[in-house]
Amino acid sequence: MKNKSILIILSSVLLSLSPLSLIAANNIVVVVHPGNSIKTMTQDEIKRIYLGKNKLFKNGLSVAPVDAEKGSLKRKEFYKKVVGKSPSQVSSYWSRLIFTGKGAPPRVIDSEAEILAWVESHADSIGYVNKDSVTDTVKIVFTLP
Amino acid sequence: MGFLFKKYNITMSFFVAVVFSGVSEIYAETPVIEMHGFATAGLILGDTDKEFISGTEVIGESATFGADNSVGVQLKALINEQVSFTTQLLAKGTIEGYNLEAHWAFIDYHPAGNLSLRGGLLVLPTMMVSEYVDVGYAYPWVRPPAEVYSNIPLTSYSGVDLLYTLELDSVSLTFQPYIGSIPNEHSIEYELKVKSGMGMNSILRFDQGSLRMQLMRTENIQAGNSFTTIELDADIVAVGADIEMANVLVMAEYLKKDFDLTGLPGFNELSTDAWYLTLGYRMDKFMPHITYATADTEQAPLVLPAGTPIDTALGPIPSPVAMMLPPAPFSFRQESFTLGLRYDFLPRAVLKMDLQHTRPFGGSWGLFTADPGNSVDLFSLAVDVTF
Repeated sequence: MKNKSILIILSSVLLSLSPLSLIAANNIVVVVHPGNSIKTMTQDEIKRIYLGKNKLFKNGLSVAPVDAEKGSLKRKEFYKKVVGKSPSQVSSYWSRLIFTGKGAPPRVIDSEAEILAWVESHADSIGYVNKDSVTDTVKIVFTLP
Repeated sequence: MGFLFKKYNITMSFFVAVVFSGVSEIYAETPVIEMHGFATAGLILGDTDKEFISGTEVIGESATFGADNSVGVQLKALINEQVSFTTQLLAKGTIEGYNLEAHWAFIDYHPAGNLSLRGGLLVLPTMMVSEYVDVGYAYPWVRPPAEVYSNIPLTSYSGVDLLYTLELDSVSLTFQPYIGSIPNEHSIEYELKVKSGMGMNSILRFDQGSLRMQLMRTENIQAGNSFTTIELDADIVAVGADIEMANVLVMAEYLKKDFDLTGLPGFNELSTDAWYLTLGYRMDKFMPHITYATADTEQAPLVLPAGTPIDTALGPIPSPVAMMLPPAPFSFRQESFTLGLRYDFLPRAVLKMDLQHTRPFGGSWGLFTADPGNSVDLFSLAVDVTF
């Protein structure tokens, strides 16, 4: 157990020093239902959707975002790069909306496969997943910088 | 580590895909009940044992543990795609012990994503954080600047509001008109009743934060305790800004209230200006911040006409001449400097401490319920969680 955590710390230090650390971020893509007429989205549009500021896609379709598991690297990376907020800033932001009945955070779906299945079966959905797990059942509209 | 995770994810994907091949049906139904909650545990230490008004409650160092303690539980039932019911129960520590009340209880009809009509028991959006003033997790200080937040000691009302959001290119504009009444509320040791009130809260949200303006008009407020009952009409204007750029947080609010009073002889108008400015600097999980807050009340000199009974050792005697009294000690004139630190030690838990130097001025006791002397130093500590 101890050895494992040392290994993790070591490897994350090594990764952060090498160009390999870019891989994780490059791997995340934002996906929508294949039937959605939207072809591409901007970072700003995605950010506004994930903060509940926009309730519609650009084409007027209503939007229901889904989030990855709390505390996951993918989620941290997504919020850092796309929304520009830390996990605690995000939960502080949502607490203001939840407890005033003014909004609800995105639905949390724990595994990548479930997110993909959800997006595939919901016309109004948007999610973020690792590029490698994407098949043609969903449509990529944005790749994280 | 990245590789390990990737492998793990792919394996999991296969596994989950096989097990949940009928996943779309499993998720076809939305959850019926959502539960959320928040809690605060607080401690106050100070060089006075005088009680003071903070927000809608009287608290004090004498309460020590417990003054800021609160627990809230919110249940939201999704009845269908367009209708939901939300209730929030709040247990809060005050100088008089704990009280448990329904803080919110409303039905929400939202025919479109950017339109909501709510009716029931709602919370007045008087100031910027008024609607979530008990959710300490949501703001930087242990409690919001009392100079501004104690001015309108009203919280829940029975009525309706409308939330409409206009989505523009990179900004959104939300309008929240509301109307209602307060059948009975116990606040700051008064029983309060408001026959009717209405207002409009407008919020402009942009990338770095928001600006808001709130106009409120309440008529026929009755405030009574065991000694006296006064009636008043109130006009309130509040503006605020909440901006975060890079690591810098700026929060500022200004409030003006005008009271027309009856029930106190010779005393019929009261006008208060209050504002604060908070600057914070976010360093990962720590955010030190400073706040200056002040409240000043203009009131017509209290003139007691000739013949007003005056208490003397021999009993009340009619005053032979008209008298002008100095401004009351209750005129809420004070300023404060607060040095604070917020530490997000867990994703859903924060530790906050505020060191506050408060100075009443102009013959007032400020927000204290008894003469506090020249100045008061208070140290407050709180742990806030949300779940």
